[in-house]
Amino acid sequence: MGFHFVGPLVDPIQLALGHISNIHLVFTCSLELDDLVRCAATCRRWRRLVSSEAALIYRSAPRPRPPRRPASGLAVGLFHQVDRGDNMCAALRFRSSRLVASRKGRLVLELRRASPDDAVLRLAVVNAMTRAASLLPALSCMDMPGRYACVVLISYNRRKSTVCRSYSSGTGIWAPEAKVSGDRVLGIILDWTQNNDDLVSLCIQTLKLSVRPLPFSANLCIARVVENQVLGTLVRMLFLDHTISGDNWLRSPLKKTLTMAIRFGSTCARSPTSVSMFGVCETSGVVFAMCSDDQRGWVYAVNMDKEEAHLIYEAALDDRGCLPEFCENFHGYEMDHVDYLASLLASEGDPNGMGIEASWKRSYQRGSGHE
Amino acid sequence: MASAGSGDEKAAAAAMITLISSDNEKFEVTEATATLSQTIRHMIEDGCTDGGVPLPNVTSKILARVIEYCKKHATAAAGEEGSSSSFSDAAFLEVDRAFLEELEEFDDAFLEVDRATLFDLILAANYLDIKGLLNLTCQKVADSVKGKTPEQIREMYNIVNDLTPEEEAEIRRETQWAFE
Repeated sequence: MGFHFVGPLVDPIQLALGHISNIHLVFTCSLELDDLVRCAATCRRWRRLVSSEAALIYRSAPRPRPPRRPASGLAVGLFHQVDRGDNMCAALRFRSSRLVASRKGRLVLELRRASPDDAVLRLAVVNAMTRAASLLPALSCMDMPGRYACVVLISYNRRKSTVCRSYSSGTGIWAPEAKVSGDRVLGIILDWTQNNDDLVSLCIQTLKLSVRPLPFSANLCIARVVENQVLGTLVRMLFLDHTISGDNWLRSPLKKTLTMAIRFGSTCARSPTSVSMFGVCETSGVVFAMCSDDQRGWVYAVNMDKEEAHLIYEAALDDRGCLPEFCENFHGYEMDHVDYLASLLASEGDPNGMGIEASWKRSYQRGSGHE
Repeated sequence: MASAGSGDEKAAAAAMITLISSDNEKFEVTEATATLSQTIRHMIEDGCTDGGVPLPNVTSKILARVIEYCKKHATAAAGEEGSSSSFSDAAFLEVDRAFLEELEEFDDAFLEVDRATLFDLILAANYLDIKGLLNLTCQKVADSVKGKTPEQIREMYNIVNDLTPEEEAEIRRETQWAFE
């Protein structure tokens, strides 16, 4: 009878790691995120190890030099909801809910109303990766808004004015209505409409919202979040200037000569007839925008620092001129390294996984030149 | 350094601890050396070291290496404490730098072991709760996977790939950036 050595029956490192309580130590030893991801791709056990211990790994990992900007190296992706009650909301324990906003790794869901006449707005803030959820106090009766937009606050029209109000998780209550300067609200930063006649701006620190007409004729297409020492966090608008040929984008309504060229790669429409923005991931500065011609649409994740656009979706337009499944209920989403590693398990069919992979498209943006 | 070291040896001579490996070999070490292990420190504090400390999870070969590490680091720590009271600041900094360099050289040489020994050291460091040794050995393993592809890591550690081709393709697609 012959004997063939087939290697150890138990992987020695797995044996070692399996017997020590501080298993995360191996993975906290100054391994970068890409190293950890490759380790997670080695086998199921390592995948579970890296993913399930992600928080521990990052909490105890030595970080010799903190990044100059917390945005660098974030995982950025998007959610889109095809119709109410899809698998994603069900996986998040809120059936028949509507995804209304996404910000800083949290989703805002509008919960199903008991009946069509139920004049109560119920919102929940959910961490999609951990499924931790907070129910916000319901808004009803006089407080009940009509059509609204929601990011860090909600904004809606009263009879003679536009108001907005914010919710503080610290106090657990909605702030009183605050009047918005300007005539009408098109949306709030990340959620404006296709009508580009007016400019909406919001100071995130003060939650002061304002609407003013555009100073010149151009299409609002892209925005970025910028830090200003005096004014705080602001959103800078970018406009497509029809007078400039090619893929040049005009930055800032006040400096029409300042342009930036976004590299779209070879798959882009050479002459898009329209540009619309789906959202801004404020921490990473990644912008989701769609270019379209008469027949097709291209959705990009635009890295404003690198001035690069990554194609994430392309399809023929439907008869409404929209991209099927993308034009409605689209929300950019960004998460930190812990959530990113934790989410690796979700696609393994793990019973404890989030079951939201069908709705979650990963598009990792590295570095941004700020690391 | 020499006087401080011999002073410590005199002080520790009164408190020797016997460690007994899984293959029943006995090692006499000073209390200063032994207490780098939090596990043994707690046993000493609880008065459970009479007749020796049995370590059923550590072989004599590995225990000898662990003791070598503990002796060096305990001696270095004692030398550092002794020198701090008798040197000027500048002299102390110079001694400190030299001591750290020497310790680093020792650690580098200490880690020149085969993979099986390295894993046994990780297990022993974890069992004996020697934080410095655990960090050192885990760092060695972490360094070995830096920049490696999953295939290279599997080959290096004889890891069986239990992912289906479909799962592998999906992982690659979702985390393509990490493979570029």
